[in-house]
Amino acid sequence: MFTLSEDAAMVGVQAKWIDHLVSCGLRAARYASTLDDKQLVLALSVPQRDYAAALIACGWVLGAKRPNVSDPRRVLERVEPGQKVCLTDKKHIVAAKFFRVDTKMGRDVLVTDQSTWCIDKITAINVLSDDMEPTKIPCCQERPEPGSLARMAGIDRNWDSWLVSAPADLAIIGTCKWIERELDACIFRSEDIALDSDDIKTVLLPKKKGAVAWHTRIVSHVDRDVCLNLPDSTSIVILDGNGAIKYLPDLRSKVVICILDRSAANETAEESILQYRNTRGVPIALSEVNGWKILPGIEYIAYEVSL
Amino acid sequence: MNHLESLNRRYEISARFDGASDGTVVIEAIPDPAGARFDKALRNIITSLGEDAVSFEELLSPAKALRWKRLFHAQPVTLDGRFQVLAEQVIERCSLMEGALDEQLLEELSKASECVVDTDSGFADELPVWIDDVGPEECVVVVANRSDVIEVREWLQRDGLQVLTARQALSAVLVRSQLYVVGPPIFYPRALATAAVTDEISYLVSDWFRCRKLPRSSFAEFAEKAVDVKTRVRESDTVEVVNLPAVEESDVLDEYIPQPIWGKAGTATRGPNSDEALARKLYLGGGFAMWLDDGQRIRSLDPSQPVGERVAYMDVESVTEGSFLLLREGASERKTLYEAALDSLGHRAADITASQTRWKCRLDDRLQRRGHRCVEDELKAFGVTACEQVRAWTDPILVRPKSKRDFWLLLEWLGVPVQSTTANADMLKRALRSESQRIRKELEVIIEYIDLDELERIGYVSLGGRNVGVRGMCATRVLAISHFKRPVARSRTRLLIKDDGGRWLE
Repeated sequence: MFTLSEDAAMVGVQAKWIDHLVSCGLRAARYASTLDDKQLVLALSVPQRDYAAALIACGWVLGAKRPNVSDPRRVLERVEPGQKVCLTDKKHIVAAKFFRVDTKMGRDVLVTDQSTWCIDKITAINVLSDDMEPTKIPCCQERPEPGSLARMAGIDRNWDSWLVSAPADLAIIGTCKWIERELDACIFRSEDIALDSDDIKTVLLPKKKGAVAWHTRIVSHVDRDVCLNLPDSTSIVILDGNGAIKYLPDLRSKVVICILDRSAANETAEESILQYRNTRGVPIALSEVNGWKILPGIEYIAYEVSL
Repeated sequence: MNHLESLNRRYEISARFDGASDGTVVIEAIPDPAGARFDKALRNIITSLGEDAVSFEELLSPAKALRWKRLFHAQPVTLDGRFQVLAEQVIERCSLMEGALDEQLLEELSKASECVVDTDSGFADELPVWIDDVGPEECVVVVANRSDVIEVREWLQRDGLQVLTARQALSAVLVRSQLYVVGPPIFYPRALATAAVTDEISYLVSDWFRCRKLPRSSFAEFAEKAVDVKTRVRESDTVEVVNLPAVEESDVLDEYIPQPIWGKAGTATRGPNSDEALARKLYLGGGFAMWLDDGQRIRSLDPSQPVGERVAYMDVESVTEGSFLLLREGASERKTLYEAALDSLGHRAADITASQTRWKCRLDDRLQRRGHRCVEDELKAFGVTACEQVRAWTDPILVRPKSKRDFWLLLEWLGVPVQSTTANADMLKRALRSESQRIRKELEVIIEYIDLDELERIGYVSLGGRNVGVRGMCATRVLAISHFKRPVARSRTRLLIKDDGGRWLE
């Protein structure tokens, strides 16, 4: 069972709905892996939108593929000068342009436009694809530590590999200010109480100014152009709240999860979900999907759409 | 209790209400003989008018507004000046209508108005007692609007009691046990019961209003598992069920919702000319109206959002009663934006205007010569998918058809250079986008400093911006949207017009 708290200093809350929303993200990730040229649309009507998107996103990470990054020296053998790379050592995570491998005082070093790094100290390195690029290159930040969720996802063992190769496939559209605040919340299992770095953003790695490695795009619902032009590598979009749901018919990601906020009742958002279902969707009964549970107080509509 | 604990409480209450068999939500049917008499008198008049009701809007509009107010009235009638004004208006209209309508019916409506304005509804006796029984600090009273919040608070004068609108109650962090909602559940958000913030909920409903259901939700109807909240009605002993309508059907319910004076606007039957668009009439806060066509999105304001994310675009079909729109006096958004975008293009503006004019003139010429049906057919044969939109494409401030492919094919069909024309149109479109972003940011800054509470209470505020693009703008609430559409000159759509037809709605 997870405990969610507003920040590390606050008393946490344990509840079924927290576990349930995390498991919705996880189940969606598993379901998505069975889909071929189809999109899963899952709409959840919750009493209040707060934290729902963040928790579902946590579940998605739990279901994400484990990183598979080779030994740094082997990666460096294949990198061409000018290519952008992301690397970690024990303290830093860096994105920079690769120049060359050199020798300095008898040691192999990696020369980049950011700095020179001793290759023996590099714990993981990966070539950055266009979709994964941070907002500015070169850049460097402190290396975050893995928390409880990372341990549960099994990515703590290859944490550095995860940091440099985390798939940038998750987008949350909604009210940025609210979502960013919620990503500061901490989530942990009771057996991991001694671990630090349990804030959600350590695993979700939101894209923002100065962030080197990132996994999650947070897009404001008022930013129409960005909402309508998400890169093809986006596998899941969480439409958080009524203002974001209008983008549903325009999305091509494998999974779209709509969070309907009942406390801000809005018929138009409901209609968008139903209209898309009626014109393009094939309904799914979640109760018949293996392992999917239904919780009182939450309403569900799920369907598949041909892409 | 911190924010997360209060959220958790809300999930717990929702789960407890969902499927509970004991009828957790109570509907208190409260006697209101004066209200019942007025309702009956008004219904008799509406029945006698039948199809002619449209011609008697000047009487029916204030009368319906008065009945509506009665449904949501807990405070003593003397505290509400507007209630008095409405009743006087109905009485005055009754006397003006003499000869045009059955005299007995008019006299009864007039007398019932006098009676309703002299007598408090039964709520005024019951509500204070119930609040004191539970303890004011454990109660929340939900009323219909912000003016009622002020009046009910002043009337009840109980320390610790919270009086809120439904929207406020739904977004508040509350740790209270009892919610009293003044008025029928059907006219309040369903979430008051399905996303409840208190342990118990009671709706206070006049006994003459027979619909006691919660509002429906289309999502819940199609959901694999809908939140099912059962209600329990506590009928008063004194109820005298005489000739009460079965207000279960939606058209009868609609009749209870106040209507503006649409006048002759709804009677046109012809189709639009080439320079016209079909548009709905909207009544807006501040004594305004507007014709809204089905075209592009419209700028809107969501006061519930945080700074920087309040100004957005809304699809026309998403505009509902209660939405806030950002509009200009004297000019439409599109025209202002278009001019600002051209300005921003500097010396390239002349070339772009010439290139745009060329293809639009040629298209207009073909439409004139061959007729729009023939042009549509030819374009269809040419592969243009949205060919039924062809007449709208001649609009000087519409940059290009939505689909790029349609645009290429259209230009080819017109015999206009495709590359340079599309490049020019794309440049203009980019400029429009960046101007629109600039205006959005500027509006966000202005809105940060306006009193949003005041806007919610009054329904209108002038923004007082000075720069190009935001000058003369105001935020205004949609009060009513017509069911009918009428052909309106494109240049007149989306313009604020002074029109007091919605005066009884404010």
